[in-house]
Amino acid sequence: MILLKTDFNPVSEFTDFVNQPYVNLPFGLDINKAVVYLWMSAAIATILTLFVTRRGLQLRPNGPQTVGEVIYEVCEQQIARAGLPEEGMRLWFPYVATAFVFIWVMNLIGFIPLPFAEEHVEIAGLSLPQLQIYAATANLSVTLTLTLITIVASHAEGIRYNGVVGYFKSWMPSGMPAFSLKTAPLIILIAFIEVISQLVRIVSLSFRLFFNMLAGHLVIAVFLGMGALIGGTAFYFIHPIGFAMGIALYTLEATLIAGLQAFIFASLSAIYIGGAIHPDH
Amino acid sequence: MAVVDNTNAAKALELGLATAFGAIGPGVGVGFIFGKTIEAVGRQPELRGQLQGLMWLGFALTEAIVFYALGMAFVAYSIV
Repeated sequence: MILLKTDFNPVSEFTDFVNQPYVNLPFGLDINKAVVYLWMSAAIATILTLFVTRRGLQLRPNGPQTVGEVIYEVCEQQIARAGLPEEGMRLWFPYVATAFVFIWVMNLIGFIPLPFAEEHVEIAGLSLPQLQIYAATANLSVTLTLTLITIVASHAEGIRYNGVVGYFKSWMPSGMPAFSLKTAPLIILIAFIEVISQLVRIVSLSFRLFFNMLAGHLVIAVFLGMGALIGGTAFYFIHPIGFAMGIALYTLEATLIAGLQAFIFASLSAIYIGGAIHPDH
Repeated sequence: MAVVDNTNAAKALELGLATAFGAIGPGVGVGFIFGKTIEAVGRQPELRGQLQGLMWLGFALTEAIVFYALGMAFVAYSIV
């Protein structure tokens, strides 16, 4: 490579950590960077919420309580009520709200530079990890796990509310002609397409979140490191266009995309589960 | 004269071209969604809240198509 005068590689920070776990455990249960980020996100999401609610809720809400109420409103009105029917609210509103807050916190933590990089820097005789922005949701395993919870839950709820036959029948669009020799090819084709569309949901729901965060971080890394990519490590931040674009994209991703993707994931979870409970809607 | 690795050049081209061509359609689609929402809000401003929710949903569904192209480009980039 002619242009690459440095070993700065924006992709490596999303792949290398798998081979450098902090704790080695069997069955691929290593504790690595992504796992630490997951734990941090879960802890922050839980502790912040407990901090707001356990301090005593007031009739005239103070600052943190107002924020909490706004988030609750968004979860209930915009996410849950848009997709879930009334009988599913009790069981699945907590799930979609948790998914929203958890994914949002995971995405937001990804935009705070934290010392978890693989490369180390020597400061006063100590070998400290470099600062790095990294999101746990930029892992397909994280988003695929969340997606599988939603998909399995939706099928289980669909079977629970409609029965096995009724649920699988509800995949077919309404107004289908009766099954006969003449209409059989058409019905089989439509059934095939519907099964495919159910399977594609798994891919689309997980890939959307995964690649949004991965591509967002990659683009920020490439633009901020453009000087390093072109001129070498000495010019790390000194590429005016790259630096400006990096800051602009960072702002866009951290303010809009991080929340939007969490919102979309929770909304689609609610819609899929609600659609399985009440197929006719 | 540096020795140019043609494999890497083709792979880099593949990554760029696949992502770029994959971004054309969703780009049109995202513009269409936002434009139509603005049009609809212009006609019926009282429906703004509902329309915005639908707009973001449609935006995310359309935008994800770019990432299918990007994902496949990365797969092709890394396995070939």
